[in-house]
Amino acid sequence: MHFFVRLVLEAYPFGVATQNRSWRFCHDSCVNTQLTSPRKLGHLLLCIGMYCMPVLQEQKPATKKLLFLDGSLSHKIKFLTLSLTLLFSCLISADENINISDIWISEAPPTVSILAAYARIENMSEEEQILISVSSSTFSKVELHLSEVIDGMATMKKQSSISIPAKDFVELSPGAYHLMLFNPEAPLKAGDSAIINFTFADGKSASVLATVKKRNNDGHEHHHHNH
Amino acid sequence: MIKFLSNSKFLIPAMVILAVFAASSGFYISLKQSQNNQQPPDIEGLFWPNPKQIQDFNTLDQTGNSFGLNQIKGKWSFIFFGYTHCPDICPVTMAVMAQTYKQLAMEHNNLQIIFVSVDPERDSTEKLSQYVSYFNKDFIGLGGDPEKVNSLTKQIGVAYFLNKEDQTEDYLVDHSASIFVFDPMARMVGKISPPHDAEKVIEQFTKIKTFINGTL
Repeated sequence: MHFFVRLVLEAYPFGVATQNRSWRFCHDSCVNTQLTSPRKLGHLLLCIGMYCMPVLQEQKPATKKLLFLDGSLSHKIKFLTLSLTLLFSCLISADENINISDIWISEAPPTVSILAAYARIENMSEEEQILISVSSSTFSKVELHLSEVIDGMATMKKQSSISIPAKDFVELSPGAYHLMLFNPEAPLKAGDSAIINFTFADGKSASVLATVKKRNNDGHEHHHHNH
Repeated sequence: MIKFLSNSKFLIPAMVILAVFAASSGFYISLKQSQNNQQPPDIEGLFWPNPKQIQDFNTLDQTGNSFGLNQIKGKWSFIFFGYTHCPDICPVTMAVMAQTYKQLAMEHNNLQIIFVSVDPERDSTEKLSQYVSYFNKDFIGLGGDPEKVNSLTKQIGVAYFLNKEDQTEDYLVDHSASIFVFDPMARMVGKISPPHDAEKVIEQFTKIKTFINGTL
């Protein structure tokens, strides 16, 4: 079975690409579903499914010969890949293309009821991702905010969403984009943590554990990736 | 041939005269410029000449005691603005000032760091007290009521704006992001603009203080 997966994975795109005009279409549709990282088995199977279907449907003898498949086996593989594709595609859509790292909540004086959290949100997909809401059971609500200094005035504006361009990242950092966390259940101290859920416009979501830390005193909190 | 020699004989003195003239005029111009340089040196954020003399004001500090002109006389004061419901910029500035104070206090014994609440309605004396002492036990938090706070902000010339129409409960406040420096004669002698880090604040303050001390 393992041999077949590898064979299909490596030989099929090559065989298809060399003689099937629908290869580009298949490749594009694979990319367009934002599954570019080949790390997960689910992704492999989905790709195989994408590559297999048009070719098997067209029943081109040359590609079949290349893969040493007879008709009956190809039907089995087709069924297997289709069912596994359906099974894994919902898992992949959870967070495969979104990577949330360096997340931390800034410790605040005990009477303060609004905290800030910072993170790096990376979009590994080929399409823009739009962060539309953030929630946490530890806080009564979470808002997206942007701090700015305009003409010497410090201002903060609530954001309805934050866009993360394709193959790019957005840094939520002090003095810029940040999460505003309202009314913690109990005062949080450095070392405590809370689960924060991120939801994106296309339905993707990710839950991350954020730790509470003291601010560095020099103003250069964490590494800034200004770009 | 002869003509060329005689020409060259004239040439040398002519060049000498020209050189002397150029040198002396250069010297004269630079002398005049240095006389004009009684103007302040190039110190970022320095208010000079004519720094603003602060008149009395009547705020309350974090212990509930009145805090006015007499409390800023005799000390170098850093005054900046914010509110405790501000989760991002204000604590960043506070953290920077905590670091700045820690370093400056090793050399200077007459410093005070003053956080002025531009949201005195929500920032009670007790909240202010807990807020400022979290960053440093020596920090001073000023508030009271809007009228009291305005007695100081109007003199400094800073504006702030409560965005109450957006959100009734958790409204945000726009406020000046600069740190103002006052000398022991209660004169506003400088402004440190954002973005702030301790190194920059210390450098600018040291330059301002050295200059002001030199004028006394």
